[in-house]
Amino acid sequence: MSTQSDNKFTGNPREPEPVPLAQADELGIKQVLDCDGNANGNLADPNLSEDEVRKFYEMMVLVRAIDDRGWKLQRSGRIAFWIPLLGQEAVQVGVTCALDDKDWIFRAHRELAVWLLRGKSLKMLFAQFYGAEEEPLRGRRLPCLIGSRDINLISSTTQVGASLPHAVGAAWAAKLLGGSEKFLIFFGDGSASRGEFHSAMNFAGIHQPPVMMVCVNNGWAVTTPLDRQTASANFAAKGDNYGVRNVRVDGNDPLALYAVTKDAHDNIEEYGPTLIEAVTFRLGYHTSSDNPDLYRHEQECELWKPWDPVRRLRLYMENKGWWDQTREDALIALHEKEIQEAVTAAEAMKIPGPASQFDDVFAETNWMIEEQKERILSEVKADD
Amino acid sequence: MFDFKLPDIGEGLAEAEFLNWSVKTGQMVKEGDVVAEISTDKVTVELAAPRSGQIHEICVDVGEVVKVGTVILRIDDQSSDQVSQESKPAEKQLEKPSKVKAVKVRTSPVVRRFATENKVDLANVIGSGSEGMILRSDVEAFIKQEVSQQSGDQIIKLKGAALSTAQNISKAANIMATTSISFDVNADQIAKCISENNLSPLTVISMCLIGTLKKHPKFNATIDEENNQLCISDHINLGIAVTASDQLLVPVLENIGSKNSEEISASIIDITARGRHDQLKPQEMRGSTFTLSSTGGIEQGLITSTTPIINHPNVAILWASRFTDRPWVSEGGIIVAKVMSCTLAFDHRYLHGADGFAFISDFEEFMQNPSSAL
Repeated sequence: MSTQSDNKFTGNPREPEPVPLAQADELGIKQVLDCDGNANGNLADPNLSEDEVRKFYEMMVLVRAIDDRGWKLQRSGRIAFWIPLLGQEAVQVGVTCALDDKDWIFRAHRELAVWLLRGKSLKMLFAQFYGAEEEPLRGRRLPCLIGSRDINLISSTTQVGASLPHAVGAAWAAKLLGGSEKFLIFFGDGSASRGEFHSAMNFAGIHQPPVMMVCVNNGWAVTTPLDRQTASANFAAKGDNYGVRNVRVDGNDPLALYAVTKDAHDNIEEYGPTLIEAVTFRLGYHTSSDNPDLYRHEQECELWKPWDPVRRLRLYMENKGWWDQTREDALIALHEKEIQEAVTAAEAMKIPGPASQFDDVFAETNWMIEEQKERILSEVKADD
Repeated sequence: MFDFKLPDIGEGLAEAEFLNWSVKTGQMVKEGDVVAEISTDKVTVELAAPRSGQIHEICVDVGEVVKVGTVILRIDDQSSDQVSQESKPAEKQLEKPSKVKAVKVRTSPVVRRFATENKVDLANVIGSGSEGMILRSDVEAFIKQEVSQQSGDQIIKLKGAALSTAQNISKAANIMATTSISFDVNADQIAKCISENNLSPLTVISMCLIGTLKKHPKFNATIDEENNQLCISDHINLGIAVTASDQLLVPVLENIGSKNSEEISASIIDITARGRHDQLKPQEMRGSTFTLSSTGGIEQGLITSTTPIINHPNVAILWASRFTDRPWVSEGGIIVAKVMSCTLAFDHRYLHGADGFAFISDFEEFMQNPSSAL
């Protein structure tokens, strides 16, 4: 609004910026697919097999369906909270598929695909959303903040960016111990403004641990737009001052994300750490406790919709003759059935009792923990 | 039968107001379908059906404010099994407050002190916080309830959009140096123009106002208090005050200065109709640069001036009455003319008496010669 001062956010949504993916060459963004799924970008098509591309696509469609279902479960009071992922399907799939299963992944908030790509079940995923006792984190984290040690997946903290030093430190430890596993962390554009980002980048530049840092730049850190987040030209460029190799990639192009991550992963001995900025857009709410109508111009989502990663990959597959409406319909029906089964199973699971919060605090319990436990249990009993 | 209880769909939501039901009794719904729109302290959100089945009963009326945990909808899902919802700890918590009351009082030291100062026995207060925790607002509500039981007064609590309107009005009244000028205008030419062009009075008055604002851009502006500056807008976003059920809404006609009379007429009809039916989106009520309050539709008797409160951060507002037949001196004689009374209120920190008189003079000029504004 021209009536508002240009220097401060006054509460009125500002006019949206053009979609950067439309100017990939000028903005130094690596891209395989154009808006309509043709592989004619500045990065060569990695020429994945039909099976591999279908795996990408089917997973992107599945996490989108999970997102839709999770939102409705939250809006009918069946789960407590939801973190939407709409529009950010490509980055979680393209990046994860470029890693080996032994590599460690530190999540941000929206990467549900990692869980499924590493072979964990839909049922246990929904069990986490319901906070069930039998899911790996025993119902102690917010819905969507998944993690499981058996697949080397570290759950995120709710405090954004806090895991950055952990990921870099873990990678350094592995290097010192002579291991061959590599490390990758997802974090958002807002995390790049935190002190932990500086600590992690500085450490990564000096000690060269085997780590890839994926900045999922989705345009908004809750209510903060990009021009209030950084004065740098972009997030990748921040790597230069730390001596960390960096690359900008189309975050809605699963093939480019795969190619860029695969390159960083396979050449980590030569390159050292890589900061990857995935340029994408959050089409949905920040969380179920948010209302983007209050700060985001409605037109902004419309501008990004043609760059929908699912649509682009589908067009790529159709051009190759690998996909059609019959397959699409069958996939959607299959997902609907599988998700329904997972919801039904998860809803029937046991919720942990109040005593369980005192388990696993220390390897061995101590008098303080026991005292608190007794007190809580006596109060709960009094209420019953 | 499945009883759908109002869930806590925010973080620590205590209650919500029902704005709209999108289902009817007897209708079939699918799990996940939108069934209602509710307004919380923060936002308006849609509730989704937790079960598939037939709507058996809608238990809450539109406009009603209900507590989390209240049964809002009964869905016949061909089962008598409600185990899954009942067994959730979250549901159990909701029923705790009344039980907690008998056992022990749970609250913070600040609230205890507040209760003591107001001679309230906390054992009689039902907590709405987590695990039956008594909040300061619970004690305040209890005190009000006591008072109302003694006096028979009705207490109406402001909520949602009505509360934010009240806060904005209070802000404007507290920080602006409002002054106002009332005047009468001969509206005979306007009345003629309305019938000749088949336009609504509001459209023609808006057109005259737009013409005047273009000549007096300082009135078409917003205030930036932090930096002590007036931001004069290069386009006119006209806010139109609309009374909808029991609340005051100000939808905004964006960039109205570049539109013709037909476009303006259509947008006024659209936005006022949707306003009266509570269908406006929050973003349609933001960004006004000037406000018009026209009360012709609801006036009775002869109203000749008001004390309008400026729609902050705008700097001015014009109130306009309906047209009434009144004696008017013209060319040395007295005629019966259609007369419109107006009050222009403006923020004296930025605008002065001379600005106001000049504005009114040009507005009258357009009113006498409306074709120049069309």
